[in-house]
Parts: sequence; structure tokens; C-alpha cells
Amino acid sequence: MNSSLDHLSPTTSSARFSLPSKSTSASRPNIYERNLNKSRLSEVSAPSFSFLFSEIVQYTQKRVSGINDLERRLNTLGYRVGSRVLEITAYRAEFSSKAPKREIRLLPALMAIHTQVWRAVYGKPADAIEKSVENVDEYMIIDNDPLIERHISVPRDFAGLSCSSFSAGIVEAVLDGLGFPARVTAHHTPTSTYPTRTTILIKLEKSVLDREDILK
Amino acid sequence: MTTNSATPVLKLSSTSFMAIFGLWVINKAGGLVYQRNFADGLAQLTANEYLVLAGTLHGIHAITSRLSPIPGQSSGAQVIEGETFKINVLLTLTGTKFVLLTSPAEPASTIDTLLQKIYSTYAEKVMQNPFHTPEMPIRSEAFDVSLGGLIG
Amino acid sequence: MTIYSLYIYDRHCTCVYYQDWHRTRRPKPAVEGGILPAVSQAVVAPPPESNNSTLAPYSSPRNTLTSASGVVVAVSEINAQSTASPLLQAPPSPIGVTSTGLAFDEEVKLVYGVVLSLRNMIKKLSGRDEQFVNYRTSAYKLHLFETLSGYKFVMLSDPGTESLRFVLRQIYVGPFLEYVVRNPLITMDSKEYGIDNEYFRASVDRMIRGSSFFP
Repeated sequence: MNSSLDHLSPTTSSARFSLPSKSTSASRPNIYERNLNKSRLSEVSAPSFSFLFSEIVQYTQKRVSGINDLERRLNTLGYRVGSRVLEITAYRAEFSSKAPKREIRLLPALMAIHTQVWRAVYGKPADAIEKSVENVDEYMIIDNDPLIERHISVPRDFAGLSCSSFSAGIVEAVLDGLGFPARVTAHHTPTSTYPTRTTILIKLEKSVLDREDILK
Repeated sequence: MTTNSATPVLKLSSTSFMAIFGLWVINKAGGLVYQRNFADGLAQLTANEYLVLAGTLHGIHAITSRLSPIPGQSSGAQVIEGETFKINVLLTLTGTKFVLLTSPAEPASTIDTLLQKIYSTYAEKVMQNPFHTPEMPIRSEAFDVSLGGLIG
Repeated sequence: MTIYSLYIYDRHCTCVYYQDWHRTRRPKPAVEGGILPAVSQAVVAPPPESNNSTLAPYSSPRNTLTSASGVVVAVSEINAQSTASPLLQAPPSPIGVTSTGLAFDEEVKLVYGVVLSLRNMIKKLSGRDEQFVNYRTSAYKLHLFETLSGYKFVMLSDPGTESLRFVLRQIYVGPFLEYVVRNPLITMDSKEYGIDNEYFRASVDRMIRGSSFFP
């Protein structure tokens, strides 16, 4: 079918990649050849992801000097993922629409993150969005059972560390991309039913709040 | 389970009951990286004593595979029986051993299934945990909790 | 169900008797001095000439065993030289016999080492005076019966066998008492000789072949 393109494909031209053999890729195109719009059935095995993420954390951990530094680095890595995720979710949601739009109000933007971004990255929406009672500039996205935390058991001497800083980075990138600059952090907030429950805390910049006031 | 197990009647019944006494995980070098007791019935040993026993078991396991009287590969000891308990060993392809101490009445199929489940829990909660160093002692709350669910 | 081999150890940790059935993977002959005389002919290397002369004064049945020079491969020769019953010799080796790569004396020590370690482990773990009964691998099962006097009867069978402790006990109360303990020509606890003799071997053989486990 695309034999003329074979030499261009990064997967068929060399044996360096241990990707599915040709016979399977014929029935199901590999990740480079899949349609960009189809998100169904493009699932990744959870253990593979867990092992990869575990390696990411270990790799990062070797190069930092403390919990804060580790969280910051994970956040940075997440940020790079987030900026790409925003691109593809926006494309998928709006490419067929006659009048593509971009969220300009905060709450719909948060909703989009809660539902679309989470679904694109973790295969399920997040569990809640909350607004801080104490600080007007703080919002929270809550995931009761974050996929990336499922197999992580933080040792006692790392108390306070949340590997969901990676998710926080994703959220920060998406908000940035939508024009809502904010500082996003992750916090482990366990309950008895959800031992890995995690809160993504969004602290918006003042300019965003000012703009929201004008738009009201 | 029984608060006054000192009476002989209860002692007898405890051996006929199916029970899982403990679990060990032995790394490929023979070091004990996890040890946990689930039910009473066996002696309470110190951490050091368990370490020595695990090392012994590791050595015996290697020897038993060499003593086969028939041609072909033999595994190491899979089940070692005493009078009131038995030691069940699952050796994985990577050399890690899962050792389950159970009552002798526990059927082999149940134990095999359980050992496989423990192995897969280990793969998830221990090997996928970025804070675990391979071949080192296992300190994972998630693993403890999941095992509690499996064995109770 | 198949029975492969029988080892008897005395309380000094030495192997005093060995016999096998259907064993298709054998140890190499023991090195000289590796095991006691009169344990089993099937597994000793031919003794050198000088050795023969020192043993010559003895005329007990066990002595005919040690002086019979022969290895597994030379069965007909042994028969020609000795008056002992064919049972005392190694059974003719089937074509498919392979070697464990271990000398018999090493194998004997390994078996004893495993049995002793497991026995201690079971005692330690139980916290009681509990006996080690058996262990199973994918290829065989090892059974132990220990007498109060410290003799250890070890039997290897196929892995599907039930506990053979009672068979080992039968060997102890039957042939062992009859032809070893009550045999004036056998010095028990001698540290120099095994307990092999014609009647004992034949009797054990008959018992094993007659049992329901024998194919």
C-alpha cells in the first residue's frame, strides 16, 4: 500500500526499533501512521506506561538535590507534554467545526482540562474541580485515583512528594497555552477510600483574574 | 484468631485449618528482601534468623535441581514438607523466589494461583514503583496493602 | 509411580548403603576413599591391587563385595569373578543411562547436606521438634525417614508419589532390623564399612518391587 514510502518511515527502515512486526502493523497501523483524529483504540498498555514513568522519576531523581527540585523537574517534563496535548486536543475537538473556537473564560477552560485533556492523557476525566474558599486566585482539579500514582509508594523520607507534579506540569502548559498563566502544583490529599487521591492546585496570575472581571 | 490457643484442642485444629503463615521474597543473590508473617503457628524468629534461613533455602534450591535421578532439567525444590506446615517456592525466570509458608492441607492449585497473583502484585507495586531499587529490601506501603487484600 | 534410589546414612553423616531402580541418570563412580566400602558396588571405582590384599583376611559377605572389582559397564566380568548373587551387582545399564556429572561420593554428600539443612530449617521455622518429611521438584521427590538412633533413610521417587515414609519405615523394621541389626557380620557404627550384604539387598529389592508403587 505504501511501499514507496517505506524508506521514509522511521519504523520500517531499520531494525533498531522493536516495534510491532509488519504483519500486525498491516492490520493496525503503527503510531506514526495512525490517523491523527482517531483517538479511539489508540490505547497504551498501563504497565508499559508505568514502567516508563517509573524510569522518568528515577532518572530525574538521580539528577536533583531534594524534593522541591524533583517536583520542579517533573513539572517541567509535564509542561512539555502539556503543550503538545493542548495542540492535539484542540485540533481533535475543533477540526471539523465550521467556526473553531478557543476557550477564553476560565471555568470552561478548566472544564476542558478536567474532561478533554484528562481523557486524552489518562483515558478518563478527572473527578472534581473546586474553587478555594480562602484565596480567590486558587482553583483545584481533583483526581481520586491518578493513573501515574497507582503503583507508586512514596517512602517516608520523601514525605510530601507528589509525582503528580508531572500532571501539574501538563495543566500549567495547557493553561499557559490558552492564555491563563498560572503556577500549578500537585498535592497528595488521601482519603480512606482513595489512598492516592491527588489535588492539582492552580494559582492564577493576577492579570487573569483582572481580565475575568472585565469579561463578566 | 484464637486468643487462648494454648489449649491442646485448639492447637490441633490450627494444623488442620488451612492457613498461610508467611511470605518471603528472595532476590536472585539469595538475599531476603521481604518477609511478612500472616498467621500464628510457626516460631517467631528475628530478622537475622530469617535472613539466614532464606540464604540456606537459596543454596538448597540450587543443589536440589542437580540431584535429579533422571535425564533432563529438573527445577529446584518446589514444595518442602514438614509435619505441620509446608514451604512452597515459586522461582521466576529472573531468579526471584517467592516463598509461601502454608499449612499442609492447602491444595497445590490454590497455592500456585496465589503465588502467581503475588508475583503480579510484585510486578505492579514493587517493580513499577520508582522509589524501589531492584534487588534491595522492599519497602512499599502499596505492596503491603495489596498483599493484605490477597492473603488477609 | 517410580522409585529411583535409596540412601541410608548413619548418625555419623556417612552413607552406609545405596541401591537404585530405574535410575537413568547416574553419578560417576566415587573416587577412591570417597565412600566407605560395602555401600554399593554399582558406584565404586575398581579398587587398586594393593587395596585388595589388605581386605583379603576378611571373608564375610560384605568383603566379597568390596573385593569384587568392577564398574557398572563390566557386569559379566563381575559375575565371572565373584560368587555373589547377581542382585549384588549393579543392574545392567540400560542404553539411555546418562551421567549426573557428579561423582557418587559428592552426590552422597549433597543429598545428606540438603536433607540436614532442610531438617534444621523445618525445626527452626516450626520452633518445635518437627520432622522434615519430603520435598518435590519438577523431576523427582525426596523422602526422609529418620530413626531415633539417627539413621536416615532417604528415598528418591517420581514427583507424583504420595509420602513414602511408611515404605522407608517398613525397610527399617523389616530388612534393616533383620539383616543388618541382627546380622553379626555387620558392624554397625563402624565408620569403616557400609552395611551392604546380600540378604539385605535382596530383601529390600523384593520389598520395593512388590510394593504398589513399583511399575
